[in-house]
Amino acid sequence: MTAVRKTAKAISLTAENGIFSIEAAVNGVRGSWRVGAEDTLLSALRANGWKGVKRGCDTGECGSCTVLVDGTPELACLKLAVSAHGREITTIEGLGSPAEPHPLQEAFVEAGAVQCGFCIPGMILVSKALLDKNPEPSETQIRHALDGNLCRCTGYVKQVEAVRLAAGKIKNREVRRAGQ
Amino acid sequence: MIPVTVVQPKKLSGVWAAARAAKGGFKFLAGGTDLVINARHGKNAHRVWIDISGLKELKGITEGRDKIRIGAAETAAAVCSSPAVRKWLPALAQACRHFASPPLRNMATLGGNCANASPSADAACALCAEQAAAVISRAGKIRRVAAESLFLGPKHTALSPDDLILAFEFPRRAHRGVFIKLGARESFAISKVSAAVAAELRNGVVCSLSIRLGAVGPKIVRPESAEKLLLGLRPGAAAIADAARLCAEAVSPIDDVRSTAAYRRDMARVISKRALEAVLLKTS
Repeated sequence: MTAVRKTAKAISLTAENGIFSIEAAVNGVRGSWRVGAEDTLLSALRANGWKGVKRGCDTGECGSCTVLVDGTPELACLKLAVSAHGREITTIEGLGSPAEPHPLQEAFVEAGAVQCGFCIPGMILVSKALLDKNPEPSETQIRHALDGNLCRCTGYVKQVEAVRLAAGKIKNREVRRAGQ
Repeated sequence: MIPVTVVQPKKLSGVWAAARAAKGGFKFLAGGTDLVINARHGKNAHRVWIDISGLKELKGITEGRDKIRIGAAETAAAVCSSPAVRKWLPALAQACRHFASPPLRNMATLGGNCANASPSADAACALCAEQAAAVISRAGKIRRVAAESLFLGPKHTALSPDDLILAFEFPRRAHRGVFIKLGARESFAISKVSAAVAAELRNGVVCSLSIRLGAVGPKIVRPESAEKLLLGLRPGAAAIADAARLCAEAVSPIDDVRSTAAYRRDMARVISKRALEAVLLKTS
């Protein structure tokens, strides 16, 4: 159970003028969010400036809108924003910055895995969830994890290489840290 | 997009209070993977959605002395990664592993897969083969029915709007099981044909057998003649081929966007044969 969920109050039966106030942490920043009952997590995130979450098919078939909910990949286009109450949401903006990219972001660039880039936030987030659970995945495991993310540009080879590259980078980083 | 309000009760008792308070109808919301899409297309539009996804009464996978219980709000991902499910419910574990896509498996629930009642629902097909009983509550009054009896037709169940599936229960019995699906791709495709088989063998003799076929009829198909043919036998390749032909005779597929009736019927034979071979001919 996350820290946010422990303190979250149950949502009352009635929203004020159709607007709910929910508590959620987005990319580590905890706050109160005002959302409509009909808002999806995708529309709420984008309306609040998290544009790294992409609207692709909007029917749960392409994976572009994947975000991490308490560390697990879910599709923001099929999740109501109110269902994010008490949860920790991670979007691509929560992983690294241009100055200090996450090893997965570095690896996707180095492997040439990014072409138009539209599917990449979702791909990187499912890869993050995979590597958090399984730091040395096999190619089959990587492909299985990326099953739900469609890419129309570069095919499905370089992203797999990128995840392997990132796994190595993360391991080396940890070895370096342990040696310090 | 539809709901005017969403209620998130903290306890099961809150569900019934919310249901009573909801004038003009309500809908239970679990993973939302069907409900949200349907609502966007104007189907199943209800003003109030009661979010049951966080209720602990609908969670948990437990291995008892006689039965295995899976909370209805457990996700496909949780079901297929559960050691108890893998050990005792092999066909269900495999169905949940090949269900939709990974992020969807983190959202979609077992209860939702049943309540949505698609004839191509992979988990629902396996639930029937695994002899699941559905534990259903209506305003706190609990009853148990065979999960299979819930399905009446495409997207049509015997559940009334205030029936809430709490859990599924299965007999704890060592058996063999398999789930095989045929879709347009290996992953992330709705089944054109699927087969779930669960069987108990004693000294090579088939002493119990359930075969269920998905996406080849208005509801999940039970090819009883094929089951009967193999019961009591030490089946070889010829008997299995005969049973697979009976499976193909039992189905009533349609032409639709995913496939043709003729192809589905022939593939029902092929997929059944592979599933029966995998379960009945393996040596260990």
